[in-house]
Amino acid sequence: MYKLQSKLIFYNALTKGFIILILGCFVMIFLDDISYSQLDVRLQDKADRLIKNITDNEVYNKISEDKSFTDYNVLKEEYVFLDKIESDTTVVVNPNFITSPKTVGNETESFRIINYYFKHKGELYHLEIGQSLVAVKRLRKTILLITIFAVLVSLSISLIIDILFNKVLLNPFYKIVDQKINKVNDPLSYNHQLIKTTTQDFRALDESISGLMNKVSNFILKEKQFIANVSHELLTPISILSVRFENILNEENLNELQTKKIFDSIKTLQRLKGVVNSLLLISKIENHQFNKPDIISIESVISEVIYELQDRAENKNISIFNEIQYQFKSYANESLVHTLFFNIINNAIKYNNEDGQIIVKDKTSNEYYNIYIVDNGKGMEKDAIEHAFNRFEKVEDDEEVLESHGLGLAIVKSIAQFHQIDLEIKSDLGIGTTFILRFPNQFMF
Amino acid sequence: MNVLIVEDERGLALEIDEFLSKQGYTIEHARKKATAEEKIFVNQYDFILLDLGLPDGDGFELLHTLKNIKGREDAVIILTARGEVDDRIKGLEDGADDYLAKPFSLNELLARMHAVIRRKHKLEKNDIEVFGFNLDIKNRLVTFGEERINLTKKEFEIFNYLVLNKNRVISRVNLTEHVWGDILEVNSDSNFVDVHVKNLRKKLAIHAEIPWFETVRSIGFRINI
Repeated sequence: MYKLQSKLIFYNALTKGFIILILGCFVMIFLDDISYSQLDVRLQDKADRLIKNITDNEVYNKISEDKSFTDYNVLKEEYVFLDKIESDTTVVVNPNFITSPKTVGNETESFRIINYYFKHKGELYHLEIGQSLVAVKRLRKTILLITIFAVLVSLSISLIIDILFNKVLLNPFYKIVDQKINKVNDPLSYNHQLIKTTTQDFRALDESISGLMNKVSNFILKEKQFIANVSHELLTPISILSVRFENILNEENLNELQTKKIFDSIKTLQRLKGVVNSLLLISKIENHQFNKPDIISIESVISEVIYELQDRAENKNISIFNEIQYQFKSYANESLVHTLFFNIINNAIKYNNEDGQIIVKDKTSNEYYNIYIVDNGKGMEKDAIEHAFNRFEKVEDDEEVLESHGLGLAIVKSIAQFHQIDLEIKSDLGIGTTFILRFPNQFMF
Repeated sequence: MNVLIVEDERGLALEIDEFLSKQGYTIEHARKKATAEEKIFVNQYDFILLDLGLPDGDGFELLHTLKNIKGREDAVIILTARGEVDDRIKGLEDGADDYLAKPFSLNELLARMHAVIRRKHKLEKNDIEVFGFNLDIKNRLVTFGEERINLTKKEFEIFNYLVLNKNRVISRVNLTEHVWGDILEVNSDSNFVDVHVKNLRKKLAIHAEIPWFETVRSIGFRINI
């Protein structure tokens, strides 16, 4: 993928170069024609002058004696040749120009030659005047060099101007992308002030992003309202029932069975409350009603969680080993990350055997910081791993766990997604489960 | 002590009423913001239990009205089903003394009210005697005679909570919620609280027999005084 700016500059340079190249070729092609026609005019002129003078000239007398006459000028750039033609059979084309090599002394050079036939006193004569092309070739070379130089200079100047112009032209676009899209985490706090631009298209883009943000904000506000309503409507009846049961418990004439039943009912209500609160938490996370204001040390969060869970581990005589070695810090929501590790490690305890063990360790690579939570518990079946993060999914046939609501890992998943943490479960039945959390390294500092 | 319950859910208000009346509190009710305002202007209360979502307005407005009356010392505990954290912060900044999310346990409410009383009245001597054991709530100390008993924070919390709710069975879930806070994952497996209770018992039993510290099978615990 390339930037629009680079593409425009590349395109401009290419078309300009192409046009200049074609113009250059034209010049080179016509340069030959132009210089030849110039030469030809001069040769014709010389021939005319010679013929006019020849009648009274003694050269003519010389021809009469020797039949032909040749004369080169001092620098051998020009020559004149004159002879008498005996027979009348030659087809006469007057004048006739050719380019041909001629050897003068021991050097061979191209000459432009005019052949001219004329009659004088009943005799047919042939006049040939040649002009060396060395000068023309030199001129051609010079013009070529100047052309190339001009092309290069004009190309680079136009390239610089293009770059500057594109920069100014596209600046509002990059500003819109950066400030209005990249830096927006929360549509509710979106800055609706338009970016300065004189380009209609960019203004349209800016306005439509603004409109989109308004729509998104409306959705989020509605969702927030809905969540607030649901939470109120569900939690209020649960509260009434639970305090009512508590009051019944304080009656003095209850027998043991009745007491037990009421306690069980309270427990059921607690479960309902747990489900409602968990679902609310998940939808709040998914609606981005949380932010990431804290710089947290993952290591200290984990230590805290392990400390908090120590009694649960002790209850099953499980040992937890904290083998975290790196100090990984990240922008995050501390209470959410706390919940994340709490749920994972709590699960590792819950699904572990008596006297089991749990190891929490870490590893870094160039791209990731990984945390492994390894237990030697019951392990999960392949099928169960696939569904582990779904809502209301729990390991069946397990009496201890049957009463849990199966939202623990769903919460883990949404918190992880919110913080861009990858999750993976590796497990073997009867050997144990490893929970892998992969933090993108870019958040490390 | 008199308590004003500002709560539009009649069922809930009546249950709280029943519970607190038994504890010796005098209760008044207000189901609307307007009624509550009238009552606040006329009477002074030891406690106002304030629901935020009232049919004719926001509970916060009521809190403001109250704070604008000079010389009032009424303790306010906010009761709300709005689980939003910012509500909690707003409430405490505006001068509420505590915050309880619905659904809550009545035992928890009572514990919070006791804590507020202690804070408000800065009780210097705030000890409770339980069969020779002395609970110094202010300094979180337990002594037997002259001897100090080293309890962890959690063990003390459990002991204190059971003593406060004496003669009532406190379930494991209730105890967990009080000591560990309102955790989302409340399962049947709150048995881990047993670890702490077991240790607490051991530490107390060194000094005296504790037949009054009862385990109620498959439910929880009770301290009979």
